[in-house]
Amino acid sequence: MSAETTTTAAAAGPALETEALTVSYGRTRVIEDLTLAVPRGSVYALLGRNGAGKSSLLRVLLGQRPPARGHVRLLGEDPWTRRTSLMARAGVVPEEPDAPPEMTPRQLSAFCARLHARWDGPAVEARLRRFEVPADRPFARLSKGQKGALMLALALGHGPELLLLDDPTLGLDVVARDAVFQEVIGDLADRGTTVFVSTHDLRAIEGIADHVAILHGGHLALAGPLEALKAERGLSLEQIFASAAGTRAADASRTEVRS
Amino acid sequence: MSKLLAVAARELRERWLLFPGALASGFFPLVLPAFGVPRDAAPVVGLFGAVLLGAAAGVVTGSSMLARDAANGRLGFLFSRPVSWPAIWGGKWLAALVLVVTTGLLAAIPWMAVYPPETHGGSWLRAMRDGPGALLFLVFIVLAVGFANFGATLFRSRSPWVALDLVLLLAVFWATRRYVAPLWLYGVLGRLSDWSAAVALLPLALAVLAGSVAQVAVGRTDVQRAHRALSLGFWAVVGFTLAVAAGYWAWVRSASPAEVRVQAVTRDPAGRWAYVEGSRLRHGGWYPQGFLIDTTNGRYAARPDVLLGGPSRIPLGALFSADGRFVAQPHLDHDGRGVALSLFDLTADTPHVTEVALESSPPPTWATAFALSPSATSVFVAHESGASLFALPSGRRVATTTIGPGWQPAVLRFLGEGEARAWGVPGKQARARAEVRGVDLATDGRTRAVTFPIATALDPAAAERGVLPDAGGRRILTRDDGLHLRDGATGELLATLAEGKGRLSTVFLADGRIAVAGGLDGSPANGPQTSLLVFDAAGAKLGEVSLDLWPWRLSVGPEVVPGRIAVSSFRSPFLSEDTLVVDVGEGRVVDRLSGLRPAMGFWSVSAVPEDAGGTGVHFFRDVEGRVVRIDFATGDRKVVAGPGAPRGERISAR
Repeated sequence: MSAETTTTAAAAGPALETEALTVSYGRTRVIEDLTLAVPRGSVYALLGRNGAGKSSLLRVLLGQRPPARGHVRLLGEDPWTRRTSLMARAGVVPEEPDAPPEMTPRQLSAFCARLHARWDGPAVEARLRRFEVPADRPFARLSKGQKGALMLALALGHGPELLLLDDPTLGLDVVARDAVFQEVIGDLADRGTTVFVSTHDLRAIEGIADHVAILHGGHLALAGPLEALKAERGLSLEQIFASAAGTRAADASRTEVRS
Repeated sequence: MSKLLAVAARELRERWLLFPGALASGFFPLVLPAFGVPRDAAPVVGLFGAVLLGAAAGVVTGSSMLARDAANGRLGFLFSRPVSWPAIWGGKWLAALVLVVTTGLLAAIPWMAVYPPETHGGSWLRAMRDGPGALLFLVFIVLAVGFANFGATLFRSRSPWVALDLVLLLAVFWATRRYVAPLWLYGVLGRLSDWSAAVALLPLALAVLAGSVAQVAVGRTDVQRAHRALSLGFWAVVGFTLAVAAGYWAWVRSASPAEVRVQAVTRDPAGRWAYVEGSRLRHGGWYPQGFLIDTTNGRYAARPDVLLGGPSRIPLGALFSADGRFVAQPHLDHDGRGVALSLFDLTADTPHVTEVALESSPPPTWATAFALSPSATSVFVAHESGASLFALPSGRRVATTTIGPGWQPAVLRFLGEGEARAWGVPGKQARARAEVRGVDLATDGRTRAVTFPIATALDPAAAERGVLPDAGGRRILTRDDGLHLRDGATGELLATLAEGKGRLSTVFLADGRIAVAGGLDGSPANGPQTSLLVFDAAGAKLGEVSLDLWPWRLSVGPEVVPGRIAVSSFRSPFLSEDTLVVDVGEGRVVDRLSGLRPAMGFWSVSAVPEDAGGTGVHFFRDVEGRVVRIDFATGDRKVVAGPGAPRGERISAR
């Protein structure tokens, strides 16, 4: 198979897929046998309660941890072995925003510009203004909402094909949360950027996600197009989530979970 | 590369306050003279401060560069960018090295400007500029940063893996003491000269670097996983280094007698067995490995691994019993607190060894002397403060006497199987006292000591040459302002063989005659002429022979066949010497052994006396360290140890 064929196949495939993925910390399995496919251009919400394994899955997707078993493909490539090149095509917003504390958003943007081959500094500045993040205040002195917004702005600075958000609205007030999701809806969906967001903020995600997966106790409880799932069951997302979690409650009690 | 530099620049930016702080601290030594500190001491304080500050910068940077960033999630900021792990690792390390070096230099600038190197020697500056100094400097920086990183990672991970680290640490201490310490102790690493310290520490520096590579490449943002990777990387390199050291040490020690430059030899009276010690030709430094060789067939047993004699690592040699059935090797016991013996029974086809710990015997020093009874039923040990007899093979002390302090044993003799005598001289503290002390001990517990005057005080550093007893210990020769024949028990003067100071060497012949070679001060000694004087058992002169030998460090004996003695001189360890065989009855040289000298024994052990009777087999050594066995009865000669010796079968004493 030629390199060109491989690239074509990868471009046509899912933006993100896992196959029989197991993630372990020592003997403790936090994700077990997870098979998932995220279509390109979709806004895919990974739902789950605290400790469901969402953050562990994100670490594997970002190439920060190898899977214990199974396969992961991000934009057609293995994130553990091809992390550097993948991070040039993906943007990440971590659950706990953290950056060098002495650097200001402007300095962070300049720093990221040295790390990325392609960097749209003015767009980052514009987003920071829109999010009302002070560009010259050290990171350590920003509020949590400002830090989250800064992370989102930096994650979008190189125009990623795939945006991975790990509970980006955790601890944010309603205004900040809306700003984050409005950015996702307004700016990215139109450009065809795939968005993979892990969250337990069901109400906020319901309006923007077109696919959902529900993770419970390290297992995939449910996955599919959101509207189809709702229509099929005649339930709201919250009811589907509660139902999926309840179905797996017995299993969950037997599974020690870390995330 | 640009990403690596970007990471490094960010690290430096975070810690930039260290730079003005270091510069400010450099002014501290300049104000010290105002507080009464001598002006000359200021640069020393400055240097100490700069080194301390550099080390502190290394520790601070090392402890925060990876572990802290992984623990608080900040490392994820870099890992979620298109930055390879080598760039992250390299950038962090580059910044750490720059920080340490720059901090140290900035702290040195102010006082260096006031006290330039030429005002205070500046040898440290020159040392840092040369190759070994620069490498050592770099190694120290890497170690400071690397171990700080290791410690911080260990602390922040709080994983059970820490227990394994501690176990491995203990294992490494054990292995280092066993395999690396000997390389240092015996000068194997010393062959690297100025580079030895840096080379010895280099593997440790590489280990912390390898560990941190694994930490970043495999552990990435997970601090517990990073700790495991760091540990595995670190211990893998340390383990590999120890394996190489152990392999090298085993290779050095596996040499045969043909691969040593022999320095000392003792032998059994029959001349079948010889114990040789020498430095190895396999780059073994001066590790004095010994071999017990059956010279009739070349079979040999390497000396078991034992501790040598105390902190000064004294080679203690071996003691053959007069009946030729046993040989004993004294060594430090396993605790390093006393003397133990490896007692070999030579009557079996393969020597059988018994380890014997001597009861309540202090560790050997340069002053300790040993003798083995004719049938190896007891061993006599004399040291600075006393002398003891120990039963064999039990090691039980059967007789002891306290003499010291300040006693320097000169020579020991067994008068019979159960009775021994030691002669000694006052030690360094009382070296002006002109006396010899004789001490008798018997296995039934009897002890007796007698002190008798002599003409002049003997040099305690050469006590073993100052008193020479005959085989039975009945007569002694003392080199006190000449050469005097005395009664071995009482010290009563029997005859004066020579008067005045001079270079003399003596030997008792089996029939009681005495041969003396050398020249007294005032006699013509500047040419290659030596006089050999012969006396009867009572000390009456029988004759004199003039020999074509330089009278320097003469060696008289052994008596190679009855009435014929070997005489040689020793000008330098690097000069080949000949040995003359002299018939003392006929007063003429009957043979010349070209390039050979009688092999020297071990100064701490009393060999079986030459005048106790033998078979005509004797051992000689050449300037290359070869040992040649000559059977004077048959004329057979063969090299038994040293370069060119046949490689015999290696046997293991059991």
